[in-house]
Amino acid sequence: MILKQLRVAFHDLGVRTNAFFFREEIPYGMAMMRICLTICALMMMVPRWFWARELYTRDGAWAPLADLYGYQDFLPVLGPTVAIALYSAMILFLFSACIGWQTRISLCGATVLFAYFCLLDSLGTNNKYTVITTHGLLLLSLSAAGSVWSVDAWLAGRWQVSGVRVFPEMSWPRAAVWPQRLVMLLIGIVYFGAAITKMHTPAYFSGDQMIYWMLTNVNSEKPLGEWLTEYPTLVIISAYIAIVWEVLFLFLCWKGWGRVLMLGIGVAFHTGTFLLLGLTMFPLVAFSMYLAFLSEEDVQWFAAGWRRWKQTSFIKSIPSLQLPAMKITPWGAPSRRQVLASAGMFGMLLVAAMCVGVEGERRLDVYGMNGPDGPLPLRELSEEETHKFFAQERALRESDKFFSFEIGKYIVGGRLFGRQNEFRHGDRMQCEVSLNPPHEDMWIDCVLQDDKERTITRVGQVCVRENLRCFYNFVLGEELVPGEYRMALFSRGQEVLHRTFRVIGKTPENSSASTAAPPLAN
Amino acid sequence: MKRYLSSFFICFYLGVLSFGVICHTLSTGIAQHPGMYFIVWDMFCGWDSYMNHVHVIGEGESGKFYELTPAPWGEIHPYGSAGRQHYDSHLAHAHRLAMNSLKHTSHEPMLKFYVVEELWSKKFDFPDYLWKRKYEVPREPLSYFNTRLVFDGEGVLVQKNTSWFDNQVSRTIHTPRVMADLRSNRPPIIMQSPSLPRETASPGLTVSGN
Repeated sequence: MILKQLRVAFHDLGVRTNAFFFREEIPYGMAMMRICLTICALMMMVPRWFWARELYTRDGAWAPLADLYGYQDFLPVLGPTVAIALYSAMILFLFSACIGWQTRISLCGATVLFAYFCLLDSLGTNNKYTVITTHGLLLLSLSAAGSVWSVDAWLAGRWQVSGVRVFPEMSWPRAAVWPQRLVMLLIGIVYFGAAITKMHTPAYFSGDQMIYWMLTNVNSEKPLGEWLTEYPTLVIISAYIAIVWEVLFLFLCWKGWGRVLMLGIGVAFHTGTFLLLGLTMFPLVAFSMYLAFLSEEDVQWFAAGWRRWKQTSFIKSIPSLQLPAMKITPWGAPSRRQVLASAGMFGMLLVAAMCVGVEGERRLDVYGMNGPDGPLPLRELSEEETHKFFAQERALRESDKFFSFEIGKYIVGGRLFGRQNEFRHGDRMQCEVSLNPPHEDMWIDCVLQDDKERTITRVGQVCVRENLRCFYNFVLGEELVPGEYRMALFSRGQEVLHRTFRVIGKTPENSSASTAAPPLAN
Repeated sequence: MKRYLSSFFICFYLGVLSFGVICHTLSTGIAQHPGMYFIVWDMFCGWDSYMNHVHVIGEGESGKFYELTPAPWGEIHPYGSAGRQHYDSHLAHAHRLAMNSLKHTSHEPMLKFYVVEELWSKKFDFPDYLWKRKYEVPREPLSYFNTRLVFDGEGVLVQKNTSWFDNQVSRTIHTPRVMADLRSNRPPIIMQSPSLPRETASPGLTVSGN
């Protein structure tokens, strides 16, 4: 009985797995991903063409990733002519894949060459979004992405462009969805792996790593990154949301509200990485890959909605904006001559692109070797610069061990929440000292001073090397005369940071600033 | 047949991705092969509190010093405003950057070239409005310099030093017992990183510890 049930369950699982991977659909999602991902790849690689000689050839400073793994000469480094010819070919492959001409050949060629050139430059080209792009190009080359919205489809007589219409009534060819499923699984596994990385990084959950990343200038400009470092509690909350989302994505992204929620958070997440961390290409690659989640039903639903909106919107009343209907007059299957002509033209264009690329790059003279005075001279360093670079190693300045010193009233998630510089009698002031790693075990004094920097009270504690933060708290009793005060940090006898604040309240009777009793401190 | 090939590829692809996730989770084998970079998703593996820039400087026979990076024909900015050489955190490719500059410029014969790291606390990168809000002291940025690698004029490595950051970490070990043990035993040997080209390692390689 149990065996029979198991047999039925396995059979059912097999049927569902088969349907999951081999159901046939019109590959709208893969076609859109093909268009967008290749545009992203072009945005990465076209600017680097101008430096291709220096980045990827034997006449430059190639920096193979394999060297970091101990594999010398893992990939052949080509001479400048061949390398630049191949690089130019890669640009053409990406462009032709984008428009869907000779799509499979273009995608295969783009995948191989894209991966090769990225692996040759670990300093300025290769990173995780190029890896994800490589995976995307590989899966596109195995899919039927070129059969929809492509030059190939037009040449095959499936799409006559006499007008402009995005969603023809006749059906596009169908294909098994397994490449699309693999893209979706890849995205989920990438996020899952990223979550594992965060679990391995304890400082991620305290917000420290995120804050230091938001201060890092290795990516592009960060519109909001530095600003958010002022709100570490928000950083911590978003850190937890991000990791929960990354773990759940693989399991909830398949249908219904789970799919909407996971993709919606993903869009917000990647938008956040642009605003806060200065990542530009990574979000674009991610959004391109998200297009694989579009099913045939989604596209048809959108098309129907678009048609309904056109009928009821203001567009209907503007004749000049009316889009002419496309006539579907299938030409029938292309003849062998047409196929060969298309392939021949593609081949000729490829050769032309390689020749133009090589000649154009040669004329670019990136090194300036052919200038009027010959090769460029090296810049000589001034005496001051030389002394700066080769000065004897100096000890770490005491103030550099401290990242920040903040005062407020509340601690949330192990961080000060809500900075303030005005307190009332009876308030408990929390002082948060943040330290830069690495630091030794330190004795840090927190000193309450009046407006004339006279010490009212001093409290100290050890901050061990593993801690990046220590807290002091003071109860501001009524003995303190309302007015300006100072909280100063001292390390090894020197003041490193201070914060000024104001105490608001009634002046104690028969007291002066100089005779005010010290506040209670921890 | 097509179905069998597709099924094989699906199993293979998912198997490889799963292998990457397992290796990454158990922190094992993630650096065993360059292919692991394609299946281990360790984005955001940690960021330091100090910003690190790399400078490659050549010393001519006349005793003058020259800037080898950025090269005189221009600096490549692959992502933001930082030059390409600053992304060489392992210093595995600095010698190639230097040799490329020397190959394509006019200069006197070079005796040595040095790879110097410059570090500064990231807090000095706050924009002005945030600095004023966070700190009530004037901004006084200070860079720390440390010579990491020394090559001869032919590009052969002759000296390798520990990083400034590692030196600071070792300075946190201040307990008298540990320091006494350190002094009484053999000094730490710095193993040459496999990422440096073996053919540039000189028999006269000297190392200095912290």
